Amino acid sequence: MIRAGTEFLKNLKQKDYFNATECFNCGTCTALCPMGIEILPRELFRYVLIGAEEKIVERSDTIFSCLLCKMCEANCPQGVKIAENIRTLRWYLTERVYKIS
Amino acid sequence: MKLPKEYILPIFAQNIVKRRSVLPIPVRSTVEWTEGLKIKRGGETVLYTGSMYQLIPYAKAVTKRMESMKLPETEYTEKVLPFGKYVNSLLNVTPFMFLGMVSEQERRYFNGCLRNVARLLMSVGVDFGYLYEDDMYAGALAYDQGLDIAFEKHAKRVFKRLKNLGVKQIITVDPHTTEVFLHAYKKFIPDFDIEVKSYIQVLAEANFKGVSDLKVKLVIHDSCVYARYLGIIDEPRKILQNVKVKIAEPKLSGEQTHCCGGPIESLFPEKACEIARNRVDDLASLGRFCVTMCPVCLMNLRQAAIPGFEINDMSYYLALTLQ
Repeated sequence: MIRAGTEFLKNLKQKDYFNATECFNCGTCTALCPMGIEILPRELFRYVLIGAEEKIVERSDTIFSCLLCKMCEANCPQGVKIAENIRTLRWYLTERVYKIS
Repeated sequence: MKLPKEYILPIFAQNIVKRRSVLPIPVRSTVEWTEGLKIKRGGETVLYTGSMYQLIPYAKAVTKRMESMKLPETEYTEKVLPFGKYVNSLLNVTPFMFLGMVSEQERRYFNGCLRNVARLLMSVGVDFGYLYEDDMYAGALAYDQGLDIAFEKHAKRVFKRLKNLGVKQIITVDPHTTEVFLHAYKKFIPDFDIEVKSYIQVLAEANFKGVSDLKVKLVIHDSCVYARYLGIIDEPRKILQNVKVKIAEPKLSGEQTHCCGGPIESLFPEKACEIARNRVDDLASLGRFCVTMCPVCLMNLRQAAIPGFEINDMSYYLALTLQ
């Protein structure tokens, strides 16, 4: 069971840019991703929006394997800042989960 | 087992804070490309390498060493690995990772690219200096990995040094350094006021034409960072066309360029190579010679190179027109 909540998203927004609410889940990003990872990035953003922090931690390899190439972002019909969202998730993992300072 | 990212990332953070680079290499190796060029020290306008071209042969050596290490998947290994960051905080472990693995040929090639850039700028009359040992790594990898605490400390140190040295304009040589100065520095340092331009933009503005023409067909590989982060798409085409290069455009080019895979080389080298192979297949279907504009693209695509297909840096081709 996924524990849903709003705290996780609030934490991300406090520190940095994170905005995935415009995503309407069309899948353009997934189809264009050179990594060919199905979860990247729309499913990840759903997890963030419902506050499923443990799913983000579980998928940390996927988050760090994003190329930040912005192919998805350049073609996103909703103009979601996907690369910046991914970078914010990395910040969260490195600072809050791995405690790297 | 491969070294997990949780043990690599703290080392990147420590290195940038304590040793001024995610991959600390000897200072001599970062400045030796200037030999014989008589570039003045400092000035208001400087050519800023951020050590990116100089680092590439070392980064490749570290990846090779890590691949050859093949850590045993035992309980003991898992208990020992977390101590790596404590060892690295006291003793720089990076040189042990590249010792004996760095290709001299590659070092010469990448240093040659920087020499070419300097000569190209001189040819259009740009008055620039170089900061030598103060030409610090700008921090792109730390920023991309979300290591914000380490990045911020380093960025503030770099900015302070640039201001103390009276630098007002930076001419960069690679897209990652350009991007990190233009966007990430401004995010952490609101009063960052140094003008930043890529050498490609400077050459395009100067309407670079060389001395001779380069009548060759080049398959162009745009850097994701130049094309999608910075919108630098027309400039390289303009200067290549000025020297009569016939540009072959892959289906995915310009704003739709396909990544080389390089950005994940440090954490996921196998995946990086797989992406590079796909890209090289696309590029090689259009011609024999390929032009890149980023040292990371160059390294990664060359790792996946196929016989009869030659990949070179933009500066390499342009420098041929100076003769």
